[in-house]
Amino acid sequence: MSRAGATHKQIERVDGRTVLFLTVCSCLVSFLTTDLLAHAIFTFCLLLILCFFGLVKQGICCFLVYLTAIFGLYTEIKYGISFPSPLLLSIIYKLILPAMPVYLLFRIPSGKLTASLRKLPLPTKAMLVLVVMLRFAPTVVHEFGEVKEAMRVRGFLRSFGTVLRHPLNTLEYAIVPMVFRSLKIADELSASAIVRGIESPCDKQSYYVSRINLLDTFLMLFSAAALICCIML
Amino acid sequence: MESAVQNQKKKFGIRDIMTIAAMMVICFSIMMVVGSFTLPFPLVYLYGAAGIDGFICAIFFLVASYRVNKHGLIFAWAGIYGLIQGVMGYMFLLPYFLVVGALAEASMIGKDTYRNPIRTRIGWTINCVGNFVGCAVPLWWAWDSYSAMAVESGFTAETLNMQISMVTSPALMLLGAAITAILTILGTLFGQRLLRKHFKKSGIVG
Repeated sequence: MSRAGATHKQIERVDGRTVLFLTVCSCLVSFLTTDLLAHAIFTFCLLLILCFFGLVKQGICCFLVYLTAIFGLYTEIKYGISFPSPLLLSIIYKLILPAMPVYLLFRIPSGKLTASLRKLPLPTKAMLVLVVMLRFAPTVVHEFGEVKEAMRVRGFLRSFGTVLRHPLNTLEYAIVPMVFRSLKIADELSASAIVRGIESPCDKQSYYVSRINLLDTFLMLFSAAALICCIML
Repeated sequence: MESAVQNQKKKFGIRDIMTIAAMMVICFSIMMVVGSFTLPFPLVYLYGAAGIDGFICAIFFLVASYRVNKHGLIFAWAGIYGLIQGVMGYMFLLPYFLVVGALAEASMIGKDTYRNPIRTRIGWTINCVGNFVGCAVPLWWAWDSYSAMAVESGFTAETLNMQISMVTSPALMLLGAAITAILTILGTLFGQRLLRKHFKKSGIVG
């Protein structure tokens, strides 16, 4: 089995609710804890979780960025350096922590994620907005890259001076294709959801089995315990 | 039968939900980029970031507004923003953003107001000024713990002093709100121009 296939298989073992819970715990740890060591230990645990699900390269990349930001911040505070902004480094290291479980959430197949979230006491429409936003975020990044490439090919991004001289034109050239492409994707997604019967009022069944298993229980207990420890430290 | 069809027309359909979600994702991505770029410049970050967000994101709000044209859109927009802030650790901001959303929604009462340039301008301006004031809420709520956390996080004394003077002076708060409102109004004017020039012609918005 290929590595991507193995990763996919591993991710299918975990429930969407578990990863969502892990994400919420990570956000709370990142923004509520004042102890840097606890923060770093929690990030390292997330690296191990990503490695367990086969996302070794991505996990290591995130952890290296985290360490670089921490090291940069420490050096800047010690020597009174103000460039790059310490605030920016601080935001980076605080955002890396929730970004790691969010990445795992992105990798869960949308059908499985929808089936898991359906079990939560959430209004169906709010749940749909959440799922679409989660699925759409990587698409937006990809689409933005495509639009940027097209602008470069057509000479709209020739130099920084050109961009500064005509900011509104540059904004227009970037925004208009972005909106068109996004609306096209949104329409295709809604058509796909409608033909699969999302608007039907009856109870929905899924191809994926959505059940909290031993792995989910362990991950949830671990994240709850880590959250309590990090806040109390 | 007719009233059931009318009721169905008032509710958000799947296409509306997808449109709102797509536009909101782009807006949040832009807000993150704007935040990262303005952070090294405390003055711009404190007084201008909300306005810049309001300027650029106005077009996405207008596209959603003209396309969906249903009440509850701006309330949902502000509510989801509040929810994201809540997940980030500022749970007390959720009720604040719900109030902002309710105020903005109240400015949209009436028929077809989501396709009215002036009403959409007012609604979006209320939402963005609410976002600007929302940045000060954590500071008013718990200044001591905020300043302790800020110093540990690498905030410079200059930024902190600037923040203190901003949130404690009504004149400076008004100045920030005015800058945000002006940029937001300019953004909606620019957005209306793009709507007329591109989106209405192609028929993707009403």
